[in-house]
Amino acid sequence: MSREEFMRQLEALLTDISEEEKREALSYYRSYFEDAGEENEERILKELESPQKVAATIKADLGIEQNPGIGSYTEHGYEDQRFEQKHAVDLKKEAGQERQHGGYAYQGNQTAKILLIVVLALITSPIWGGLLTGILGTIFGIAVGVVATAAALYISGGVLFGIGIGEFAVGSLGIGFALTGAGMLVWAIAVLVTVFGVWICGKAIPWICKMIAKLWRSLFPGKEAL
Amino acid sequence: MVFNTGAALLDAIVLAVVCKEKEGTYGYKITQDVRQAIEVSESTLYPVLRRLQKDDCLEVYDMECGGRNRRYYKITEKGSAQLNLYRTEWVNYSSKITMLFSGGELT
Repeated sequence: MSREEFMRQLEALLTDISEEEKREALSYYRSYFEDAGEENEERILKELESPQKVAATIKADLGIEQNPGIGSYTEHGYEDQRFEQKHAVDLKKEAGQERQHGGYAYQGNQTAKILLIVVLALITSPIWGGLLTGILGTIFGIAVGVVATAAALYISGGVLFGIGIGEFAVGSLGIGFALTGAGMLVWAIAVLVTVFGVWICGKAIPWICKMIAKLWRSLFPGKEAL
Repeated sequence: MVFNTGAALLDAIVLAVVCKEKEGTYGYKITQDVRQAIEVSESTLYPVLRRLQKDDCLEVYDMECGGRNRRYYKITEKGSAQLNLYRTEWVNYSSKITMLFSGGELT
């Protein structure tokens, strides 16, 4: 592509910005080429990559005044991600969502990314909604089951022990020993189940909740209150 | 280069480059000068210069040069103040990091 062709295409791409901005940008690049001299023309054309990219760079910065929070300058200029995400960014602008001021460190294509995730999350909500409910239900079920089991074991242990004591008094000594022994055994199992139950409530459930929260945070970095 | 140059640092570098030229300087030369310090692509600086101009940190004027008009950028008072602020911040920031890297204690 020649320099004339480049400038012509750039001009065509800048029709949707104000006349003044367009004039400024075109005159900048025109004199840039002139100052660089013909010997550098090819190199500069190559480095600028394409009129599309330069146009996007110019527009991106104009966009920043209305919507800070897009993109960051890197030493490679304004290129990459926002390019591909441009559509998503436009969508967000149209939706008129809250603008975020990122100070000096503009946060890349965060907005586009978040939007994408929200859309994705909504579409797939039947799946993960069911999954989440399932997980919580399972945990709750296990907890209730453990508590009930422990209670049943304590009670049956107590009953066995009680009957055993009764046998000591009125029946055979052997049956008495056997029943009280069995009762104590059942209690021992009940204590084990209790320990397990405490572990589930104290460690496993908070751990799972933490994991879910962590997953959530990694999906929505810095935006927990969506 | 593994470290990204944020918008503020890029502003500071451009202001410093323009500030060196009392009579003002132009786009192509600014790009070449900035490139002595950091790698920037040819398309990086236009938006920066335009923004600094809109923020009244730079003023522009056209001057005839070799039969055509060349646009010159010159630092304004506001730009100089901004540059001074950046310099102070930079000394602060870089010295802390240098200290940290060299294994010293932050006071």
